[in-house]
Amino acid sequence: MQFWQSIARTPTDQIVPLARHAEALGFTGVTMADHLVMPVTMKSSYPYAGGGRGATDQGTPYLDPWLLCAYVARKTESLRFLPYVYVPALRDPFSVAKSISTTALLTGDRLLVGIGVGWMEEEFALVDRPFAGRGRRTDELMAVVDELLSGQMVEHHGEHYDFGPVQMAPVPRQAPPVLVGGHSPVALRRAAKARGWLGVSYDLDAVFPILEAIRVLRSELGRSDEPFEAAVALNARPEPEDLLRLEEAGLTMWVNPVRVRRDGTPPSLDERRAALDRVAERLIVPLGG
Amino acid sequence: MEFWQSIAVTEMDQLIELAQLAEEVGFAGVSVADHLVKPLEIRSRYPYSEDGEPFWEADEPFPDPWVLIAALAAETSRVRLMPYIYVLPLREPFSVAKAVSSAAVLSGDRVVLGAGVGWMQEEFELVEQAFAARGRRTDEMLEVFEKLMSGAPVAHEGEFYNFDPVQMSPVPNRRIEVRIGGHSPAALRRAARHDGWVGVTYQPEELEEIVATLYEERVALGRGDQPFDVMLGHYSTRADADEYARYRDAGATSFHVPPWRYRGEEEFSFDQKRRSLEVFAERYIVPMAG
Repeated sequence: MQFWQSIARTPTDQIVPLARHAEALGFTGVTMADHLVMPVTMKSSYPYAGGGRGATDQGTPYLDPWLLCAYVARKTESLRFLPYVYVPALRDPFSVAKSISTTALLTGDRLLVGIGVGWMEEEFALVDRPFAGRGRRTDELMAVVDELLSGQMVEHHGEHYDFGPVQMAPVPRQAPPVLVGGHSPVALRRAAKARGWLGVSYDLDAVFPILEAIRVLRSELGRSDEPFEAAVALNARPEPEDLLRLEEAGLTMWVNPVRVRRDGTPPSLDERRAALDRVAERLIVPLGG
Repeated sequence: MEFWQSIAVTEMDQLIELAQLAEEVGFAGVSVADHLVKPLEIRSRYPYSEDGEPFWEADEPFPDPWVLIAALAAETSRVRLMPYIYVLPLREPFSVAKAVSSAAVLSGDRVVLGAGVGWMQEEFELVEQAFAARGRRTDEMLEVFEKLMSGAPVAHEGEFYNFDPVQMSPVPNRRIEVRIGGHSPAALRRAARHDGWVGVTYQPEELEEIVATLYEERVALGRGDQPFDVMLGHYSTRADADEYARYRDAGATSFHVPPWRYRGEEEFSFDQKRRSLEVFAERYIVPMAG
């Protein structure tokens, strides 16, 4: 089981000490979020209640995920990085491929790419890209990204993107694995075709049917033997046995979410470090992570 | 007087160390470049070469400038960091503001936004941004950029961008300096409205004319007495600092030293690059500072 720590919405000056602390304790990596701006009035509702408290308050800090990965990578040795999740359909495939390739190279291939189709309609309106049909557009966009990351002269003639020969450089030796977030049936299918699935926060018992659905989808796709990651956070603090049961069912990554105080204020660096220490003591050490 | 070293089109595995060396020997800043992809066929004329052809090959590295700047920020402590030149209208203002604000926050306010309107129409077509009116759109983007950088809820109604109140976080403590590249009359007028102008290579007399135009524009805007940076690209091969002194007297305040790749046909090993930084500092940076 891999242990991942969310550093989303963490005050900037706490990020590096927290990441280093996580690395020293045996966490595999850190996750971060992706938002351009927060609309003051929002009609879209955050679809992942539970893990999202404070996620959409104005003034919540969201650094650009790729810059954050590149920066923290230079301050750590082996920690891995996973945007959880990045929304490609807010961008064009060339900018997305450029961000991913540069980040993969500057992190020394310590990057995993978590993507989602997005839920905040206002953000799509701001960047003038269609919200409707974003799932199909995301699929084609990521196919284009794959082509660009080959580093070859490539062309593409599809439904949403159509261009003659172009070449991107630099590219990493190997494209980083792409993991897909969301738990709608279509999101699970998209994940089953990719290198992994990223869930949100669930009650323990709710995770098993999702993992089973993914197992069936991957088997139908003939991909059961391909490498695959599956990640969730849990609403209740897990016991080691809980994680062992989930691991047997196919979970590979447990994400320790950002904790907020009861009054909604962000914890201090010491409180955050202490929370990581408890995770290490209760879960990482017993499970030999 | 400031010297900046470009690390454009340089081997990816040398970038960090070269930036650190540049900082060590006394460069004020390090610049990076910006291109998404190279099309096989480019109809657009490159405005900064005699034959209108770009200098670089399709497989030469153009890492994302802001992601690279974030990594450089982590590995250096003093040098300022700037794209030479970031093509604003290839993007929308929100992604730009997010990347630049993040770079400024992570670097402790060491970022300069070196911005231009671009020239390669093919690149605009690829990302589906309009090439026509890109100058006017750049101006409005910079307006939106400044608003978002306030960190307050801001709305905007303009020719190209319209939105209800939104808020960006985090934003840097200090205002981000904006320097404009290009030497067309429109580019000079645009530069005068911001914090500096970024040029390529000129004769000292040409520079004098440009500086006079910039000054006139700035006086007309009531900004004649505010700080303004004039940066030009120049690489001297002389053994003394005379050339740089001449350009300084013509109004240059910063020099941008081109990357090794553009200093003739010679291949530079890492050690040769290191040596060139040291020699450059001895010959020019130290004397010009004295």
